[in-house]
Amino acid sequence: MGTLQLKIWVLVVVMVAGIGCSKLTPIPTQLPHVKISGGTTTGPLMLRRVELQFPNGRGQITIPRDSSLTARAIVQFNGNGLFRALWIVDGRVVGTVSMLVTFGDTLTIDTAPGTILPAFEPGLHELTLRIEQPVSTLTIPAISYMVTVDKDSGGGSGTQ
Amino acid sequence: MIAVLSMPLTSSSVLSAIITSYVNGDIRLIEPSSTRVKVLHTITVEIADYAGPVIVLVDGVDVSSLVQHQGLRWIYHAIQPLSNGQHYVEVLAPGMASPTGARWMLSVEDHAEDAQKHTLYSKSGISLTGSQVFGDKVKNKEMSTSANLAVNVGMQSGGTEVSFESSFGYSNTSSNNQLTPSGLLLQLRHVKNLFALGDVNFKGTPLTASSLARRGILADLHWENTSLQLLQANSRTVTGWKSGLGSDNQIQGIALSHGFGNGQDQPLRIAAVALSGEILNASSGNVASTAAPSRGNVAGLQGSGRYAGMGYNAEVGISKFDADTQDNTSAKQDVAASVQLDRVVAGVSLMANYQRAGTDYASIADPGATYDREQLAFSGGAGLGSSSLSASLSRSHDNLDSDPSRPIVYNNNLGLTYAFTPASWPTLSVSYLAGQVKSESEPAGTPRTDIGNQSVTAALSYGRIGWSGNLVFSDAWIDDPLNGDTNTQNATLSVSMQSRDQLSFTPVLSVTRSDQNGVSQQTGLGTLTLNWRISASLSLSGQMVWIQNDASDDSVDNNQRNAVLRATWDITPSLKAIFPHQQTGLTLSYNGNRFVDNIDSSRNQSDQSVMLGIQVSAPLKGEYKF
Repeated sequence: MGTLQLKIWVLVVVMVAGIGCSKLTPIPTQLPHVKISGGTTTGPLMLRRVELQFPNGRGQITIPRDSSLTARAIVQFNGNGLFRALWIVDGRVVGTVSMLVTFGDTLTIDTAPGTILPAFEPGLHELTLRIEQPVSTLTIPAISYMVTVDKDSGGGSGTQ
Repeated sequence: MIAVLSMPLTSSSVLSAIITSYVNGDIRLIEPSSTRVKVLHTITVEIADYAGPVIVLVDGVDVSSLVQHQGLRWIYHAIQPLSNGQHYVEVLAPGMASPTGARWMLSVEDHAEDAQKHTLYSKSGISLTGSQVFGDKVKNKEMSTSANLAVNVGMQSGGTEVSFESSFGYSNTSSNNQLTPSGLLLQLRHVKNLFALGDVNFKGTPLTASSLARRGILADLHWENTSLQLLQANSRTVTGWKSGLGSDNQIQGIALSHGFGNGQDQPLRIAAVALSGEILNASSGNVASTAAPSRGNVAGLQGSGRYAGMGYNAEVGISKFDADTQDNTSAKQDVAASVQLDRVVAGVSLMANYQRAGTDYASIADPGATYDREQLAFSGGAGLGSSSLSASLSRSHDNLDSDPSRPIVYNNNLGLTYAFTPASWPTLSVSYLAGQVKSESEPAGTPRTDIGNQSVTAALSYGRIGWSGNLVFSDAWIDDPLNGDTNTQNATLSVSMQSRDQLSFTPVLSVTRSDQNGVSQQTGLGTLTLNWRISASLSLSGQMVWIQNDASDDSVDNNQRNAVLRATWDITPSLKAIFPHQQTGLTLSYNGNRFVDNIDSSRNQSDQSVMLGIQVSAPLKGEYKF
């Protein structure tokens, strides 16, 4: 595996250096947002903290009918292993999460582009993340969003 | 012609005080700089430590191609002065790791005299729903009602504005009666200076508080190149109409920033941030945590800018933190530092980053996080025609104090991404990530860690007017001799179709398979979301979900189906003569759920219900000048 990684890296360097004199276009590069964090990196996966939030950084939001909404889970953990979870709105599964986690204590999970949090029914809706693996004693909270009847938010009834 | 900068908004949060912070990643409106501008031709924004790309929308029209880029600033010169009335300026920075945007509302008025007037305004709205439930297995065949009142009122006088925003929902059934206030924000704004009570956002530096959305009070004061922010807020999330202020669970913050020079390259910008506070109970309305009560102080000093084509961003932080105020240990002091450099060389964007945070370093704004890590990372990327290639390489290790009771764990990571984006053809993106976690200096009795992980993701996207589709495959595996190997594979197909605002149709199909310790589990998920305006007065919307779970050891074998369908008959025109400002619809909803467990049939569930209802909404808008 180490040899393969080295070969690929050499290939990248050669490609980048080789075409560097051509009309290259800089593309925005971002280092992966790895929050510097340590903790227990060995052993099986264990959860320490789970926070759910909407784009306003809070657990409550009001949105106009038929608008799009996303959510985020910030999970802090120890160890390594498989993380499996389900996004659930009003008891209905609307998305799945499955990923392998190693070295690092914070996992940020955004709802995938294909995960649609329904906003066609006016009223209060509850969203939670049901974590199936690892099994944890944490009681994952539910966050709520209010869908207004009117499509046009008109200021005060907008995203809060 | 007078332009009044009246109410900056973020794209993500209306009910949040905006902090035009100077720290990394923020978008700041430079021009117009005053609420009284006689001619408004130019809009200038500045984004710290960001090289692009930037999307600028003026009244929803993309004017990015007309925007000039100078250093950290993006300048839009309108062909003609903005017309009278309200205009919205939206700026998006999609290239950031976490895409960021900002939005402002500009009000251009006819005469200077108008700007001298006082204006009372309301941008509120109210909505009501009522429904009757029918169904064989529905326990409460009851009438339910709900209401939502969104309040946004204020007064503006010249460059000064006072506003209040809040919202509450009310739901009533025979068994439940619930009032749910949501959001609270009282603002006093004078030119660019702001005092806010309620849901405020404090944005410090990466080592102190990269983002802190809390309930409390915030003062945000601006001078020419200097800003000062003061925060007193609850350290936990607060809901309802509570102020968040009190004697417990409080956090105080101060952020001072100053920019030197206004040239094409911003030579230096300094931000100093300090936070102090306590968290007595780490769990709250949207947080579940096992963390102990904690208390601490943290301060950071950040310098950033761009000089001679080189972007730089450096920060040092110091903290004194007691991670458990209930044990007998006292607060511990530690330091952290980070340096990031970026430059374009021969068409290749290059970036380097070094971070080090000591074992006991911590921030009260980031509860539960542990640090103790040193990391060095490089990334580079370039495009050639329709192709682009980016790569990243990083190495880190923890246990910086070489604590003999813990191993030292090293982590190496390699990432490669190739994207092919030809015009009129599907876009292809392929990523490969590989990493290794390896321990050394294990204490007696602690097994050695030697974990290899790899993942490959391929995404194919294609779109045309009215529809778009995405197909994503991913395969990831961990080689872990200690805890067993794990492999997970996922395939997701999502399609979004929209036809002239008549029909929106989004099917998503996802299959995930995980193998761990010889047991495989497969989950299939299908969702279908639709919104169909059948005619001018009749619409149908709904979401259908199907999910199937299977495990090879027969521990799981179930499937679940849910459907919600809602038909709405808009009767607004019929009621216009009586209630001219309302929007009213009659609704017929169907809700069906079915769960089948093939292992334990006693868990099977099935229910269906039908609701007849009415929904009414009315704007409560207007303004009065005096």
